[in-house]
Amino acid sequence: MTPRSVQGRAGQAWTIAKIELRRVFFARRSFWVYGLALLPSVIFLGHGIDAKTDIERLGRRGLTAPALMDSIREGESLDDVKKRVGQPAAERWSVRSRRVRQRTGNAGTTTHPIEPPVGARFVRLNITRPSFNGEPVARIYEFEVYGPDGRANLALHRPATGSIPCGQDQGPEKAVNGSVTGGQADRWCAADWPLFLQVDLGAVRPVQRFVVKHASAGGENEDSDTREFNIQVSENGKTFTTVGSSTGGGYVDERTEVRQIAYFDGRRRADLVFIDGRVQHRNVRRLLDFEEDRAIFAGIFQYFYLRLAIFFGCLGIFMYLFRGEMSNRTLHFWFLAPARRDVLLAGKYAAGLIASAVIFGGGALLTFAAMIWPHDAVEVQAYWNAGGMGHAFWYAAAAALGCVGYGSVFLAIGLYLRNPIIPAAVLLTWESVNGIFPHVLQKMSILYYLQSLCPVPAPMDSDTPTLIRLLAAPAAPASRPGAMLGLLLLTAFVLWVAGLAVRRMQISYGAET
Amino acid sequence: MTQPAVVFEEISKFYGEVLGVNRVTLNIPPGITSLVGPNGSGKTTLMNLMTGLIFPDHGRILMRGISPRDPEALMRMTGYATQYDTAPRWATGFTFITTGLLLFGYGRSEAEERAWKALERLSLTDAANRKVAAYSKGMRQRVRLAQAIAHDPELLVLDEPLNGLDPLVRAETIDMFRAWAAEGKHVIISSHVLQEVDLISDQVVLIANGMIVAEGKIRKVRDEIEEHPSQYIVRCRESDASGVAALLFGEDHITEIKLNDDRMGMLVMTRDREQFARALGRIALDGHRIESVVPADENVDALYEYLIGGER
Amino acid sequence: MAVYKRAYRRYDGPLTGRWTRFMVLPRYAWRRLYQQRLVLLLTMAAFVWPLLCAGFVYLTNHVELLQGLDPEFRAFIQVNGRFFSIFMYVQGACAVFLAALAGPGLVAPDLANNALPLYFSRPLTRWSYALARLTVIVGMLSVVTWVPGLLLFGLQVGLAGGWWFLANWTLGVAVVAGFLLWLLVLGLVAMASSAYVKWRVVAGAVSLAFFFILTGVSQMINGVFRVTWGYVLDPAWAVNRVWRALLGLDPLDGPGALSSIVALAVFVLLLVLVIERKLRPVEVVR
Repeated sequence: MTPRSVQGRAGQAWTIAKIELRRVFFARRSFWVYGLALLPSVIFLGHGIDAKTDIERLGRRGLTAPALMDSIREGESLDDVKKRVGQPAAERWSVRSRRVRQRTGNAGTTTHPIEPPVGARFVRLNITRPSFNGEPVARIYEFEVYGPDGRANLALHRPATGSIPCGQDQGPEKAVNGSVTGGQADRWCAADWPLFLQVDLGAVRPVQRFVVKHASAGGENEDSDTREFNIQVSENGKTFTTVGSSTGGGYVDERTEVRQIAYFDGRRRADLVFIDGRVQHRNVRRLLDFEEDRAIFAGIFQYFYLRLAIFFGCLGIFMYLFRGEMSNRTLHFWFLAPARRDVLLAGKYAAGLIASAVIFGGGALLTFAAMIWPHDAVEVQAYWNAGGMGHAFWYAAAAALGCVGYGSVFLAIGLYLRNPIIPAAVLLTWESVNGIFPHVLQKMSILYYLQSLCPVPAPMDSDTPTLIRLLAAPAAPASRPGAMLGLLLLTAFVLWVAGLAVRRMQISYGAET
Repeated sequence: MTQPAVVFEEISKFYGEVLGVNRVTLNIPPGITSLVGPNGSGKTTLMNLMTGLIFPDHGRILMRGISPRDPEALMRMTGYATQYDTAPRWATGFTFITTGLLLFGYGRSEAEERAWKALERLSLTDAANRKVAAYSKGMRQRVRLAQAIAHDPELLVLDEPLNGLDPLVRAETIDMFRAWAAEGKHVIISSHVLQEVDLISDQVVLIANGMIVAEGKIRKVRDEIEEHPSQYIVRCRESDASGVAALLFGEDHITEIKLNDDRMGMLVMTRDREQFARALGRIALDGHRIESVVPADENVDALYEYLIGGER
Repeated sequence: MAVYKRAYRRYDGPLTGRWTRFMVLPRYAWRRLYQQRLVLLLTMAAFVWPLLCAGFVYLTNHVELLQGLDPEFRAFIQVNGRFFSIFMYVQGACAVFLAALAGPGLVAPDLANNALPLYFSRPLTRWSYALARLTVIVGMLSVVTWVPGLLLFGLQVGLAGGWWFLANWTLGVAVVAGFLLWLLVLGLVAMASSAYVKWRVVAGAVSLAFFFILTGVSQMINGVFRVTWGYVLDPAWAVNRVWRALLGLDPLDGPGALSSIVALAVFVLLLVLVIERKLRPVEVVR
């Protein structure tokens, strides 16, 4: 065999590839690559098993007619539902406890009665925590004082003093002007510590009830209501006694009884959530929804498999081929072989490519199979007839071509740079924001071509912000042959660049960690 | 026809701003050549340059007529046993060598046969199927040597090959080197152990601070060092020693004579070897009994001391 | 016959304190870290957001500057739990990148250069070594997380007065505790990837990839199983959930703070196990 002929060199490259292949496939550090590739299939398998056991378990308790399931309405009571529809397939009872903000009285008004009435000339409202949202501003729309007869507001239009107000038209007199509908100019607002409002009733009068109208009574947000305050009275204006205060710390535990029951009609499951005995939530969904699963698969393939799994898997495999060997001080063995440097590059690339394409292409097919497995045979057959096999093929092809593209890029990066983090981060960002680039720059991204190869466009949640949707969606996907050609051209270019570097490469151990 | 030689023409290599080797010009004929020099003098750099692991910034290298930029041709006839002590983690001694041979284009059976032969030559057959990472230091040294010789190269570049070998294997290895040198191969060794260099080398290359200080056969190099007078040890019969010494003192090329305590020998330092030989001849013919004349510093130790040691 | 000359006396003067000895490792590591330009640059960049937040705190406390704004909006832009949660989000993300940059240098060089026997042949136990390394990264990340957070809190207290502190001191505790939890997770991830992957080049990528991949996994599980418990597998989400609980914010859909803490504890345990296995001075090759 003449080594200098093209066949000879190709044979050499193949030998190199075979040697490296064994290492890539069986090295202990490759196991996480297998893990990445198999993760989605494990998840789909788990889902399939879960759904099938669910179907079996629920079915054992008896099926309900679909029409009956659909007839349940929100607001119905538990007994009614059970009587009409029958025994549920599953039932659960729990108590849900939530911390809720205590409502400030009734529509923002708190009432503080005193028994027995006391005599007072000066009435004072002290505020220790002015609001629920943390804003350090007190807002009081009305401060009313009633005697034993309960009819006349003793504080109305009386002289009032208080902490320095927020603005000239929000002084303490607004808290006793008898109206709450005038907006911000109709309230007392203060931010100066200590926060207090004091009204002079003119003479010592018997007082029995206080009414405080807080921010929400004047139409503002409930979060601005006073959180903690107390009311004091005095006869002489010097010694004050506390006669009333806000209740609670502002938050209480709200305990609600929650009952969850489920009905099953053989295919669909109706989950009903009863809060305080009435239907609050009603959710009917198919346990095995083939179309939905296919859409989810497409989403997982594009967002996880291509962008993360293949990206990082190829990073690991291809970076090791040259840069890793340089770090481990074993690269010189390859350079001491009677082979041209580009033959070495070709052999190593081939090894990495075969390994990653097998792992990730196989992983894609395995995940596809795991997705399909639990579904009804009739549906699956219909899918096959409608071109499902083609879908599977293109998924595997996209995965393999992803390895082609990413592999060449990471091989080149490994040859030029020692630390892959920065270029990997840059590449990840580049691929993520690809959607907003002009068309020319878009073609410089591997993901662009891969997305064109995916048979089913990935679904996008309608509540994803527009910016993310813009970034993630491929703008104008190329045709399939065009995409493959583009990808191969890009790869060839990158490999050529890598070839330049490998020919110039020198062994410099000791510079590595 | 001229002998195939290893030729360096004005080779310089910079590591950033640090000079690795500076304007090195060498012409190494076949046989055993030793590269001798202190640590960091550039021995490994020269060897890496020879085998194409690094490229010179300046100058040209020809290894038996082949440039290191052509690994396809060069590596077929070159074997390099580096000082880098790492081996792939998955390799046993046997697979290590076999895998290397596969890259040469040998079929699997031939590769295995050659590997086994190489291991036999270096007495590693017992440990051949154990992982290289589990070898002792000396065994790793031997397996690297085995890998370098497995494909019967014409040119061997060995970086401190006798390092860590026990005396028996050392002696066998030295015999191997001599056998190859006799076949006309190049054996280029770097070493610290000057006595051994003396023993086995045909040529010596002294290198310090990246520059070649001396090159050639040991005796020739010694001849060219004129600043240091040659030292000889002359042994005589008991009664004659002082007489011989007195006669030698009369010669004007003698710089120093030290008489030995046993009064039977002396250390003579002379500036001119030719005249010293003639003087000794005359003295012997005059009737004095001279038992032996041995050069005291025609060895690499002395060369090292004279040429490199002083520069420290 | 050997003659024992009793001339050698061991040193029996005062020894440096235990913590001084312990801090030797972190001190040198910090010095080395901050000599790297990229680390310095990223640390500087990580102060931009706290400065912006400080400006915000100043604004909200000087009401006169906000006169012209809609009162509903004014009520919205308060220094409360939500403000601190946004602050912690951004700083937490900065911390991830800083950890990916500085983490690899923690243990990987020692393993690659076979320095562990050197360390452990001195009075340094494995756990002190591990703790010292953790201190390096936690200390470095503290400078950009809870220290500016605490300063921000202090600024707010200073501008708003003692009563604001009495009303909201839990926020300060939440900031410190929340960040410490996140730093613990980050530090352990960085150390584990640094110990598992011997070369620092890849260790950084591994610690970054960790978070991306785990987020992806949790999203996958939630998508495929149509549930929300998958979030618990994502340590970033779990820590965020704990933050929201500490800061008193409404929880998002999904597992509660308690399950998040349990998941985080399991995660931390696994990481500690990995580190324990890898920090061996002697490696046996079979």
